[in-house]
Amino acid sequence: MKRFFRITGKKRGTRLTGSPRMRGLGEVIGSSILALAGVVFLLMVLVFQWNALRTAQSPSWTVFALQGLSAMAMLILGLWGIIRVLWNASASVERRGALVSRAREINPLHDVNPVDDDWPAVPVDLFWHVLPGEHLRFQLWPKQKPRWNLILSGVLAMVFVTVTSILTAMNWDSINLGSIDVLGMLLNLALIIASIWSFRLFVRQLLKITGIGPTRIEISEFPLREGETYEFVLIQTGRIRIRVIEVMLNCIEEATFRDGTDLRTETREVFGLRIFRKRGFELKPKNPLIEHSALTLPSAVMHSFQSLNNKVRWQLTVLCQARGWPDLCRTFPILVAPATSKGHNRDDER
Amino acid sequence: MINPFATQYVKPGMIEFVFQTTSLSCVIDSWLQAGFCGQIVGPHGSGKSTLLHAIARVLQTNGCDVRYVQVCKSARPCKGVIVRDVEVKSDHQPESMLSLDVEQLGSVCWPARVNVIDGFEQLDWASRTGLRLYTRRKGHGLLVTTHAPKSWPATVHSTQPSVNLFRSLCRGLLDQVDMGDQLIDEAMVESAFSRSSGNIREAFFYLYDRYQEEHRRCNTGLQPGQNI
Amino acid sequence: MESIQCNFGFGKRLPGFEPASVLTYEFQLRGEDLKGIQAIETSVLWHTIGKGDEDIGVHFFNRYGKRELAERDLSVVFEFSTELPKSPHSYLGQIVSIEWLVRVKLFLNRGKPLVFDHPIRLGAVLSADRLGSLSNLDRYAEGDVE
Repeated sequence: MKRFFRITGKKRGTRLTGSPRMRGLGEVIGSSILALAGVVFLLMVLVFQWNALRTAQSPSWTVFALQGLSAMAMLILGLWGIIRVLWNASASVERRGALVSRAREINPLHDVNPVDDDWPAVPVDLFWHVLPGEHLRFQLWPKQKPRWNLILSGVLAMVFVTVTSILTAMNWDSINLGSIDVLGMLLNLALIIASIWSFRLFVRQLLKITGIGPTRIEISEFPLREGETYEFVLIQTGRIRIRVIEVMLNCIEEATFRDGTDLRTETREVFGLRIFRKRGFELKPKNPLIEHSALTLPSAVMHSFQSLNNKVRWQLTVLCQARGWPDLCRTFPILVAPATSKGHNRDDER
Repeated sequence: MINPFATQYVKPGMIEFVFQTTSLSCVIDSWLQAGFCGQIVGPHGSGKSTLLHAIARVLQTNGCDVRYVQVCKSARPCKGVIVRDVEVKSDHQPESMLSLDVEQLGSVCWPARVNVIDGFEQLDWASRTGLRLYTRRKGHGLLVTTHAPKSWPATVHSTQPSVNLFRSLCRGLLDQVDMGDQLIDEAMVESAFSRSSGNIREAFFYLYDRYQEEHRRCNTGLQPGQNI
Repeated sequence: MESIQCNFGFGKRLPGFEPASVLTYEFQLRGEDLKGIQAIETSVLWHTIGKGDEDIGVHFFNRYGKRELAERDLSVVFEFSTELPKSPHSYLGQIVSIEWLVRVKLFLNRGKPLVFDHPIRLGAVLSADRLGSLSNLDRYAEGDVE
């Protein structure tokens, strides 16, 4: 139950008061102010130092370093706060809780989780990647991709924007004093272009992760068995117009081999089946897409297999296209159990 | 269905190294003349590891304590290299190659210990220098592979595959399976070699896929599976 | 020593077994110099074939050393029995295949060991080619709405 309106939430015991959305907005505003203050402070420090050098004064480099570090710290903290809020906005409550408390300590499937000895060479650790669902019994955990692209593009954008800002301030100062440095201005122009490009790259990476909102898939049973039909639910949040969204069931073989002194992995998709598709609809924050459908695993399919250098893995793949946004592809590993005995032996001719 | 180009049939040590202009005993003799320190130089997929395996087996048979390591790039960025111990198996080597060539060498005072390193150039300068000093101090033998010749140790052999060599290797593999030569013909073998720019390993992987495709077509009424 | 033969009771068949069923197999050695055999190892194992490095999983293993062999006639039929596991199933893939084998390895007084393999099949799963023929991305699934 919400209490009186507050810009930030206050923790009372184990409950949080206030609106989560307003809390997030407040944090974004605060972090933005901090980041902006850091940029302004950094520019001021650099301009003052530049002026001191130009007028042949003897500036204190120690003071300059301390002031510069403080400004950089404010900038970094502000940016981190913004990214953290946006990141958490794309994650469900269950996911955040699991990240903090270590999923391995929570095993809701302890009554059905087979030990490794029962199913040799089957990746039973996929059981740890499943959570209790809201609509159906199990919720699948998406395969996480490394966030290196986001981090590196963010760092690149920050460096370019900072250097461009400094150079722009210096050139502006020169113009005010009546001297025009053509080379400096050309360099400034090039850096402005580079800054715009790097910032666009960073925003694109950020949108890929947070733009369309989290995708959830829940399924009626886990693990899956050949020849059986399962109910599944696709839940997609966001605030955009979707061109098409589809869910596919894939089987992929993966082979790792030593290529001389390098290690190479080759993958080959051996099976693909589209099990759901929807076109042309709008996602709204209060009206996420919730679609119930069914998937049937064909009979006599190979079960999930994993050894040191070879794998046969099954997954559900969600593909989402929206106008003006990067295409989204999220994969959800699933476990296909080995078929059980049918009670008799069969001999085949060679 | 046995694919003759599967990894376990073509990996180093499983195929007999075929010499074009020299012999195993000549290579070992060169290594001997270089003070039991030598490098085998050659481009990617030219058979350096295969030759290294063959020599390591000869040394083992003659009572040397052989430590065979493979230096690989780590899969993780900025993590340097991985050094992996490799077992030198003698199960699959034809006896004729071992006994014949060793006999031609006569009586040799082999070093008690030989270090065999596949991927010597992956080690940094400090490791290579340290290894050089260690080898000299201990009196061990050393045999390494490199893609480009290093200043030390001396080059004892350079591998350079040819299309004729690749053809003969493929013929040997295809003879082990039924209808092998019907599924993979000479044109495919030459095409595999040329598109891989002489990298025999890559050419074998290409022929693996071609063999699968041809076998699929020959099978009754089946078409290759669709891919997304 | 190459005159030693090992005949499995399966003949030329590719015997199929269900997961968790009992595999009973026998083999008999034939040859002129069976007394040159120092040790016999028999095993039931699976291994991978394909583009990746080979992986092996040994399910059952038995060894007769020199002392045990001295007490028996090596030309008799050797019989073994084991309960097969539930996985992995035999599979014919595109770049990864799994094959089960019954193996007999003879260690001789001199020369390299002799290895005799007979493939068996565990389970009955579709090959990658058959599985691929079931792929159909042109067909619209349930729930398709324009």
